[in-house]
Amino acid sequence: MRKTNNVIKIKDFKVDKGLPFDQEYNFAYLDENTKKMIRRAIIKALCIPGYQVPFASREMPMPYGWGTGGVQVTASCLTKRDTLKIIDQGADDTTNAVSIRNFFKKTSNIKTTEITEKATLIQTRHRIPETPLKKKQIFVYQVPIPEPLAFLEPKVSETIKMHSLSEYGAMHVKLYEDISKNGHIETAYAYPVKTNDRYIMDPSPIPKFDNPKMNNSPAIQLFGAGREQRIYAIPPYTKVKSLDFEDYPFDPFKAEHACDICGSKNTYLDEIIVDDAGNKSFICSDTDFCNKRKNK
Amino acid sequence: MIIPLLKVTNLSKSYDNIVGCKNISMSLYPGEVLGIVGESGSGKTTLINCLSGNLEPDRGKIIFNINNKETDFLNISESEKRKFIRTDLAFVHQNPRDGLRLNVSAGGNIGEKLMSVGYRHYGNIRSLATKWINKVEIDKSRIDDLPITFSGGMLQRLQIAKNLITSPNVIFMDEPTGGLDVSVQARVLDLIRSLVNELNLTVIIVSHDLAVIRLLADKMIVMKNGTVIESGLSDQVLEDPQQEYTQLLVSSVLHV
Amino acid sequence: MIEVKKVNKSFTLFNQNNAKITVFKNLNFEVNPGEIVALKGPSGIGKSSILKMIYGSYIIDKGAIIINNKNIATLSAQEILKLRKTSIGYVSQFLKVIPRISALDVIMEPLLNSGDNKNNAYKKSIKLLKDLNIEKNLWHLSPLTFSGGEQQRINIARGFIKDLPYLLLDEPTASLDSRNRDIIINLIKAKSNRGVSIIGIFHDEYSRKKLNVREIDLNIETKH
Ligand SMILES: Nc1ncnc2c1ncn2[C@@H]1O[C@H](COP(=O)(O)OP(=O)(O)OP(=O)(O)O)[C@@H](O)[C@H]1O
Ligand SMILES: [Mg+2]
Ligand SMILES: [Zn+2]
Repeated sequence: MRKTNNVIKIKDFKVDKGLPFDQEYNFAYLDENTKKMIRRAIIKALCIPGYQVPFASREMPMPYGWGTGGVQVTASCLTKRDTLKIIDQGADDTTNAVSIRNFFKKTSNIKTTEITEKATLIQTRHRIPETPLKKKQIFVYQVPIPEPLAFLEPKVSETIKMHSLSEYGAMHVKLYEDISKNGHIETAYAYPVKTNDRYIMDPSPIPKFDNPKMNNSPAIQLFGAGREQRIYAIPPYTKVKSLDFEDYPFDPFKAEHACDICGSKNTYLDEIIVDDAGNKSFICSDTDFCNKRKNK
Repeated sequence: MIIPLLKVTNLSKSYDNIVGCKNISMSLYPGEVLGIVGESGSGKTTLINCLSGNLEPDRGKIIFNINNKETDFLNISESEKRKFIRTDLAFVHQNPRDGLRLNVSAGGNIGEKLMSVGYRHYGNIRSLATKWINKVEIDKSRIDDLPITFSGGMLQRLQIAKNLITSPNVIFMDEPTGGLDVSVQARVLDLIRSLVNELNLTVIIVSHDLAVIRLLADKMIVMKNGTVIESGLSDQVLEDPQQEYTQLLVSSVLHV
Repeated sequence: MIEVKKVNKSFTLFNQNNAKITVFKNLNFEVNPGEIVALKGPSGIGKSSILKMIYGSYIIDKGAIIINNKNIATLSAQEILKLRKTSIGYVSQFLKVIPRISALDVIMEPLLNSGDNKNNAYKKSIKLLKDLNIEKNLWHLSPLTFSGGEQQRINIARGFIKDLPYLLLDEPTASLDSRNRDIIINLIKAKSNRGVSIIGIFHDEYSRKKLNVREIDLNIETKH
């Protein structure tokens, strides 16, 4: 599953300035009533950590799968004083990240940044930055499939019941299968967690390496699924535990390598084929972190 | 005096205008095997679906009494009911595919039942699953194989293992040998019979095969048009039936 | 003791123009502890029916059959099941063979079902198999392929394995050679000496004599 197409143009670090602010749009594209509706869903989600709150997802000027859920959550949280950072698999300069950033520049004229510490609102696809999130930051995940039970139970009415009654035994079946096949838990992405000792939650397809960062984080973590019309959340300082067995505890595995650019040994690495001979290189997937370290 | 494990009073369920089952009353005591017979459409499956929580009856009372704890099955909350079903009841479907996950290994299927009641130790789950795979006469080397690689009889035995591993208090079986070849039926029946004896199981089994009932059931009820027309000890009902319909049923079946 | 009081039994055959067969009216007799009662009468007179009524397999139309101060006619199904388990042994005319269950398991089953431990049940069953002169190489086979006499002895072993105060025997010595018949007769005697109340149907004068039975002639008892 590891993405290698995500070749990061490290030399070309500067991102383009984006399109000029367009006054024709309401601030952050969505109308105020829609934002209010989404904010209500977000507040409810924060009150019930890990619980999927349905919301009336709007058509966005981008296709599903491009983070329409995350974009609507971001749009509803954004204020004029915010500094926005958008990352896609850890990088600020991939097509997806660039186009979403441009979208917000054009519709809201807010400041953007690539530096994790400077951002007040970060929207992400598939990663949590290596730089620890802080108090007062809002961290928005783009979610393709919000329902962690979906692979077990196709009926939504039934999964809703399973959540409401905490019938989670079957969730461990997948982990059991992993261990019996591979001797360890193979699931590497979208590794399910239990939030606040209550709801089982899909953390979106982040690597399980990032799972511990969700636990007890000072930031507000919001999850938006556009096509599936669900919002869920982890309020600050909330317990988030990755599922495991007593005798096979959760292991946030990472490759046994150091970053070939900055030398970091404890960051999540992308494996990149660097030449036609198939030689590989390992570099931080978090470009901001890697650059800062390299420049020090 | 012993208290019945299950006491049913005036249970009725209809589908729109069609009677599913009507005014059913019966009791079941610990360790008893109750057979339900009747022609197709007589309400057998409706009845056990009501008793096992798969269907909501229109009227009547279902009281379970397990370890001196009374459960008014139709008057508890949804969550209590599902928990009760999970821990105290088990259901063996006619088609094992309805009771198994076909994309999950044999061990995972059996293990799921344990995980659903709170087991979180892989090693323990694995060894219990292995023990039960063995108990239902499946070679333990098959534990990691997918059910699609199993024969019909093996699938049914796997489903039985999955249902019995958590020691439920009442086991429902709907035509457990119905979909199997005759040669395979006998083996599954043997297995059920020996498990019933060994573990002193309390079972409600639906079958239109009187030979199955004769072999397994202590008591039986005969259903027709949704009502119980005759009930009693199974040898008594089979050997000295009091109703015209039952006599017809008994005489029209080849004796074992 | 067993008391049969004013018992009526008839069968209605609904599928044969509601034909009604009256087997007996006002049947009375009793069996004391240690006594062996033999039911006598021509075929079809109702000998087996009496045993089945006592065992609860046939409905008692009218009257009472009292065992352990309990009236079989009015007991519920589970009370009869319990009474069978604790008190009544029944050897039917023919063994109901279950495919693939070994002779040994067939005999052990009643003990295991009433909670005896496996080891004990095994030892007792082996002893009985030896007493009954069943060859060792048959013990672990299903009685399905046994001869009539062998099947009959397995059937008897199953009925005799527990120490129960009442025994119902439907032609236990039929289809046996004289040597095996004597073995069975001695086993029945031993039960009787221990105070068991026994009702039996014996087709031969020899067995009745040897067992010193009290005969009940149903031709006379059921004259109506
Ligand atoms: N289940 C039944 N249904 C209908 N009629 C029955 C049933 N059992 C016995 N009968 C009838 O009751 C009468 C008594 O039968 P039973 O088998 O008790 O006789 P029996 O004295 O044991 O005969 P035998 O010496 O041939 O074994 C017979 O007329 C028989 O046909
Ligand atoms: Mg007879
Ligand atoms: Zn790096």
